[in-house]
Amino acid sequence: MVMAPQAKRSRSSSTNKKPLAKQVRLTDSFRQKKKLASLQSVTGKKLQPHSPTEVIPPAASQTPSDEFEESAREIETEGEVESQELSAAPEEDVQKGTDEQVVPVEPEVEEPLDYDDPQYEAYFDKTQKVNIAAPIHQQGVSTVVRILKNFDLTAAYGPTVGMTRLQRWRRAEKLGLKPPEVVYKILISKEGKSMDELREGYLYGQI
Amino acid sequence: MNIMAPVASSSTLDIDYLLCDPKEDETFPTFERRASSRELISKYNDEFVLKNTEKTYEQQYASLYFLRLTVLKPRVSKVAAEAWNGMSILNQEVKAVDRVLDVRQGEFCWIVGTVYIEMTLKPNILDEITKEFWTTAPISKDKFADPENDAIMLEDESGRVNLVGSTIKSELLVTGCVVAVLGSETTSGDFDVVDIRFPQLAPQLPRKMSTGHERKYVALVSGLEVSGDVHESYETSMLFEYLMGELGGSDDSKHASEIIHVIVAGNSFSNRRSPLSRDDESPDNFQKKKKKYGYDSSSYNSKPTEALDCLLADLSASVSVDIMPGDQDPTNYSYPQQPINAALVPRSRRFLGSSFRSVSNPCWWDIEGLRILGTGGQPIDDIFKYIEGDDRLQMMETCLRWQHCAPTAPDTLWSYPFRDCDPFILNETPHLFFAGNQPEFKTKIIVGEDGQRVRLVAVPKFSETGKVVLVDVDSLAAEVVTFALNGTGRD
Repeated sequence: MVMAPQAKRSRSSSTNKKPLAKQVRLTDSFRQKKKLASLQSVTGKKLQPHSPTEVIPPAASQTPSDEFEESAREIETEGEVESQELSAAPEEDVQKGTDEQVVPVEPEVEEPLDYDDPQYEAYFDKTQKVNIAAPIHQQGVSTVVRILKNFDLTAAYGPTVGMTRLQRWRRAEKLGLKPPEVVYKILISKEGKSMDELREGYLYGQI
Repeated sequence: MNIMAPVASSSTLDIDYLLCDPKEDETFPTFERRASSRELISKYNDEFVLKNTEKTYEQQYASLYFLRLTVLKPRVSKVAAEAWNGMSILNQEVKAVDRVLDVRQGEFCWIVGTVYIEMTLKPNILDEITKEFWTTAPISKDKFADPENDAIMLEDESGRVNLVGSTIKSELLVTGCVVAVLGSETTSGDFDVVDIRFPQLAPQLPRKMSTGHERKYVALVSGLEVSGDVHESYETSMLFEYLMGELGGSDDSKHASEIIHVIVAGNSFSNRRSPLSRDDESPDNFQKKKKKYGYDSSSYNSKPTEALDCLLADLSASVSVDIMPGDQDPTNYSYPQQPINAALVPRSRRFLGSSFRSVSNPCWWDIEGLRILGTGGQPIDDIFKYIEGDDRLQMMETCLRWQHCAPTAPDTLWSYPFRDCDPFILNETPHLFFAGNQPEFKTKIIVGEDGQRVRLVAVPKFSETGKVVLVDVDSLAAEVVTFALNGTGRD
């Protein structure tokens, strides 16, 4: 399987491609439709849609409703499998694993974080399907922070103490554990790199 | 390096030859060392040498165990699946269970995890704190293993399970190795082990055999313990003369010229106090000594360093040398040890970049196609303390089969809290695996499932045994050269 040659591309490239094999189809469709438009207007760069690779089946051009149906089916099966485990890695739908670990290259310009992006809400709801009860004391907390805390608590990616979330994400990526793409996008944004609340783990300052 | 030798053979010498005028056109055969490639395998060594700018101690050791399990678990699972898939015990098919805590009673299944051995005799800081009174000072023991009372457990991200059964008692296990066990849960919640599997030897690169007829040797020596004082052992200077080809007759010189690389593996510096400071400790002097705050630099003994420097500088002019630190050398104590700073050996430092090199402990080499993994002996000595037997070669072989060269790190072997990768995991099996500072010379060849052949060498301490090991690069044969003074009783 041929990965989008992310790591080999020079940093001065203006295209905004990310490794595809690790995404959920849901995000992909949103990226193609929503993000392009918003980012184009914000940064003024001409962005190209992702070239579908062999990994994403021809359903890449599906309408959003189909996407939801598929991901709903995904969620149901996930719910059965993971009902015993609270913090297993959410199973991303990847057809084939890849042997070479391509560490994603961060874009030169840090994009500002859009706190109200609906994909975050949708992603967070998906991860919460395996929980028995709603998270407590999280009423006033933004979805982005909740997603990041959920990422911290996922035991499959290892211990969180003593490293930034981005370091932990990269370590999980290198070990082939397929950490979520959504979290990566949040962490490389401008706020994700500068604000302690987003950049560091939830135990920062306490341990 | 050109070494002069008399024309006549070393066994008989014509008397007229010795007591005559020098002939003008006389030539002597000279032996030269052939140029050889000896490199460090940077993809492994770069992880051992920690850059000062990147070293942090904010992370905990849990990351190291997590990395070890994540990398080794798929490898063990593969071996276990090949062995146990499709097998049925008591008409029940065995299946793999993902998490250690998911085993069900009465079901035969196999699980993968890190071994943890709860040892009653292991020195435990919490025991010392909870004791109210000191009764007697704890007796220092060689070994902390107590087979009747030690509890062996298997641990992964979900939890631990106690392993019982006769199979597990007879197996060589230490805390920190990753294994797969097959068995079932008993009524008391323990896991009764029927069979156990290790990752086995990692793949080995094929060796490029050289076509020439000359033999090439790598010399391994450890535990030199150069002290520089008048009690310096004569054997040390004999060793260096031999390696430079100045000792013995033409046969010895020829043999020495076949040594293409010398590895000094640990404990080259002696830590004996200088005689001068011993006099200062007499009661009269004690009163007169001024009270000095901070570090009293007069107690520093520079003789070991200077003596070793002279020896290494001479040797570097003749053959390429690598010096690896041991547990008593002036570098950090925790494993992996950083290379000894070349500023300590200023004369040898001039050869830095050509024939002298300071390497980390452990270290990977590629010498003329021979892949070598060497340690200063600390992981093997540490494993020795926590198991029953004393077969060092078996411990080294088991380390290769666990695909991990220092499994007791960080539990009992001090280690840096690695965060991104566990550098002790063996992704490749070397052709030669040696451990320095061992009590005696032992060697054997082990064979892996896929035809890997590894020469294991336990290099003895030179200061005690006077032995240096020569390993033939092409045939993997190991021979030992012993230096002893007549009447000292060494064999």
